[in-house]
Amino acid sequence: MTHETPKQGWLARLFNPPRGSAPYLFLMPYIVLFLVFGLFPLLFSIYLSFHIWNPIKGLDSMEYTGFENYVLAWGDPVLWKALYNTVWLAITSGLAQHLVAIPTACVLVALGSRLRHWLTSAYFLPYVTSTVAVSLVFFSMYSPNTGIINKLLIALSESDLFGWAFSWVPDVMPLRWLEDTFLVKPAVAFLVFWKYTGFNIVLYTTGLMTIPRDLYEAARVDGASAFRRFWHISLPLLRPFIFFAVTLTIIGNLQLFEEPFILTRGTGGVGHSAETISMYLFRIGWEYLDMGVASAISWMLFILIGILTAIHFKLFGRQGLGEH
Amino acid sequence: MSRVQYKNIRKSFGDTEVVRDFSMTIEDGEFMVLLGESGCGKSTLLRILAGLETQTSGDIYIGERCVNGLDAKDRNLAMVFQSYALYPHMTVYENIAFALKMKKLPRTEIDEKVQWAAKMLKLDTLLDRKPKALSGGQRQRVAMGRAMVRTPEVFLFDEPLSNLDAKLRTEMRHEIKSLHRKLGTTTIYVTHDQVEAMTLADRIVIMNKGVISQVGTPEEVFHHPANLFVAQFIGSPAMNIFDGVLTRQAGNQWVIESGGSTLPLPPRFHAQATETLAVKVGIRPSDIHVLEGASHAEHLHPVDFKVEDQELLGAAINLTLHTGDVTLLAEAPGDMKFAPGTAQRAWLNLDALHVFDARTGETLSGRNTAAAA
Repeated sequence: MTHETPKQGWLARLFNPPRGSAPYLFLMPYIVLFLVFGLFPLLFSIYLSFHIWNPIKGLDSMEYTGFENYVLAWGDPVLWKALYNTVWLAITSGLAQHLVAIPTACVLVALGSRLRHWLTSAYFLPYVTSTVAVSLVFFSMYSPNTGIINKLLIALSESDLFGWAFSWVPDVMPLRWLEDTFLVKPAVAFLVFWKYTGFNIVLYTTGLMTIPRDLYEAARVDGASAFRRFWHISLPLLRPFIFFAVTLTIIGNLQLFEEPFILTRGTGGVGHSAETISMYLFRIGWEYLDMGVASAISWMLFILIGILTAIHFKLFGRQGLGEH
Repeated sequence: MSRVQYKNIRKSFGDTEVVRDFSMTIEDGEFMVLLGESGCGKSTLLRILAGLETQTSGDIYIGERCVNGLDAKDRNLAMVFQSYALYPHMTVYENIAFALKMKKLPRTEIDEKVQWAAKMLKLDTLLDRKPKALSGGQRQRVAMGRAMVRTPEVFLFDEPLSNLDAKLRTEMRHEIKSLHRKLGTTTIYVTHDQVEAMTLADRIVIMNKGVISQVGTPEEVFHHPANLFVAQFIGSPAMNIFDGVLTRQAGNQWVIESGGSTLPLPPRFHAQATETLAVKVGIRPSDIHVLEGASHAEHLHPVDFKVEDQELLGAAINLTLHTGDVTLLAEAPGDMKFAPGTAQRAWLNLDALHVFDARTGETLSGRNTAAAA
């Protein structure tokens, strides 16, 4: 250095930063937040998954164990039960969501704009309502003795019109929707279906609106019936939207937590019958205070989601991303 | 192939009536062009025939069959859309085969027909491509192929060339014409382009605000426009129109007085001249001659003008001439020279003069009855 730089205090340096650093300084608030609350916990949980740590005993209690946490979790039959529950719920509620949402969206688009706006808003409402609130409402609806669902079944069995179809009802009453190991999963799945179908309807409605009207007219002139127009025009051209929506469903449903947690009052149901992986790792972490195993499980869940999403991309990605 | 009949068709969208009492027969094998400005109801008429819109009242016949209320898919028509409306997720082959597949024809027959159409339209090397990978002209051809393989009773074209550039448009125009010659299918073609209408049509229907202004062969509508609207709509550059008064002079001679000059009334209007009448006089720029050569012919009437402006177009010059309060456009050969502000004598071809009742806009000579100019 030949020329002398004037001496500067830290304050002067702050207001006279080096060339080219301005963009990063402006981004700093985000970068700091991301590092502290995004990147650090992520890396820390990887680190944790190789340690035994009880958070209450402080950082000193951390002890390196290698892959022991993973081995421990892998050997726990409850993990496999939770995995089964999660996949069961994901497939049942997920499939139903899309099978209902696509035809509903078609009907909505055919209804014309005013009615469509009202109905899509109505269908979307469950999605924006607090999960805890709706879960509590469903909890009371599923109640064995006072719940509206059982009351309705009884009323149907007593009605003249439908009695013949519901004659089995008195024999099985009261149905314990959330305690019966057989009924609890469908009960949870129905809530998830109810809550997220509207979101998919909105997505598919938007998708259908992007399909030019003349394609349908051309198909009509070409002799295609309404069903064939749906099958040969709407469905293939919706592919990118179906792909996107299904991706979101896979990722979301595999992390299912609040709905089963509240419906089973945090227990996971009798014999873990509705416990999902997220609930399981929550329990390991905060009830057994074993952060290491909980982190290991969360990374196993992450890998599972990664694998399933990758399979989905592999199978449908090229068409789904619109590469006709 | 079939005859198409519109009988007293009306169509309203809400309070707006776009088609008013339209009746028309399109003969078997005829190439009929519906011509008019946008919003005149021509596309609506096509869509009503296709079954994509429902008429408010009136009947549609295809052949002997009344198709009111029959769904588009059951009408056995083929339509080419302005946007082509190709199915983007299907290959050219699948696009052309779609209608046949809907008919559940055997695979070999479908293949035969697709190959036939592809060959005819020079698409045979493109059958595996998706529409995205085609040029505008090729897409247009696929749309036509899709219509052809159907062997429909009627072809419908809804402004099929308006998305193409000028050169391609000319090319496709020829192809459509030769296709019609080969297939002989009844064709209804909607356009706002008079050149397309003049070159393609057996007969032209000129529409104005939901009603028919004139129906006739291209020659008829060009040489004998039934009213002012048709006179001004057909022809480029547009026909000159100026005000005049039909007056009787001494010796039972009828003349048109306009802007200080007097034009003798051509003989073919004599029968209609019974009273003094405010008229609109029309003459095409090509019927005003500035060359001296033909000046002795009896039907050429000399008028002295002042040259206002000239536009060289290459082969021709568009000359703006002025006299009294009348300004006219004349077509002069491109090799002549004119100086703005100078005097210029020009001869009006009285045989090609059009006289319209100023109040109704209808021609004085009666529809399509005048002697050829």
